[in-house]
Amino acid sequence: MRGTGGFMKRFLPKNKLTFADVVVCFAIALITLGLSLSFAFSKNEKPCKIEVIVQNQSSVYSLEENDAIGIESCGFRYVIEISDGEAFISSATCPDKTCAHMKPIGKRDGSIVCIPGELIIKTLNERGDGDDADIILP
Amino acid sequence: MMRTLSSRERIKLICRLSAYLSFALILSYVEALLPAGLFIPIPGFKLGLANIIVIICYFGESPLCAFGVSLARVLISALLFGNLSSFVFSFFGAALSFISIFVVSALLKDKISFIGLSVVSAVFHNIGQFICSAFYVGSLAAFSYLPALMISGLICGTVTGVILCVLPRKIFFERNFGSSK
Repeated sequence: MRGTGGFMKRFLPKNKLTFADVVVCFAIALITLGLSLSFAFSKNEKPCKIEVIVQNQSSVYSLEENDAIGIESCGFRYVIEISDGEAFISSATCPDKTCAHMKPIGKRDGSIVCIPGELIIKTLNERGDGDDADIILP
Repeated sequence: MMRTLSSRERIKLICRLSAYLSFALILSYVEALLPAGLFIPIPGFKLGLANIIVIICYFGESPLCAFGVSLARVLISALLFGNLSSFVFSFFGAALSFISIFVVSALLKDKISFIGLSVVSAVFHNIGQFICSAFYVGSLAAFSYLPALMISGLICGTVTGVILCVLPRKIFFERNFGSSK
């Protein structure tokens, strides 16, 4: 007899969709929907500034003026472009460059975080309240 | 109760676990080459093909063996293709994914199929990574991105679950009962 033993030997999951699968998938879909709705309705104010945090050093830029900001962090170079009230990373030298493919933030609330470069870009409203972050996993 | 393996059986087990690990690493590499982001534009999106091997090992060998293979895969993947931060993220994801497989398979036993199990595993893998990122960034803000990755977990879990379902059940049974018949 092969194997190392254990209670798992006595059964194998089925290879056809079961009622339990449907319940599990439905529960996950419901939780996802609830989370999405709570995030969608929790932010209403239009952002007017962005906060750029590089290795815990913070600086704020207005979204009303077009600009291109060059940043270097953890050996990677980034260019953050502000154009027509939106901010996005136009170029990045981080390993996967996922942050450069993120949707612009500004017209909508949101943030861009590049973990390899320890860079966080967050939208701020008039009162200076921050927003949630979109995390780029390495 | 776990029985003691003879030295011959132990060698066979080590060989099989090495094969599992190699398959898992190959699938991780293939996954990295696939332009999955073109079809589902979610940053951090991964199919999780290596999870297929972990689940086969879980039911074919034992939960402990599957955990060892999963941990070794994460470590070797980080050494070959990643860095320290990718190891920490993958470790959290793999650990929570493994715990979810353990809990669901223990609770639901033969009521659940590979599809449900893979979906739960994929979703909890993402949750594990997000708990890690929340610690990394020092904010719960990371969770705003969680719904998107939960959807991707649902899709990817279904894909890997279907792959597991179409695999011949022989590959599990042979490991458990093959030579006892």
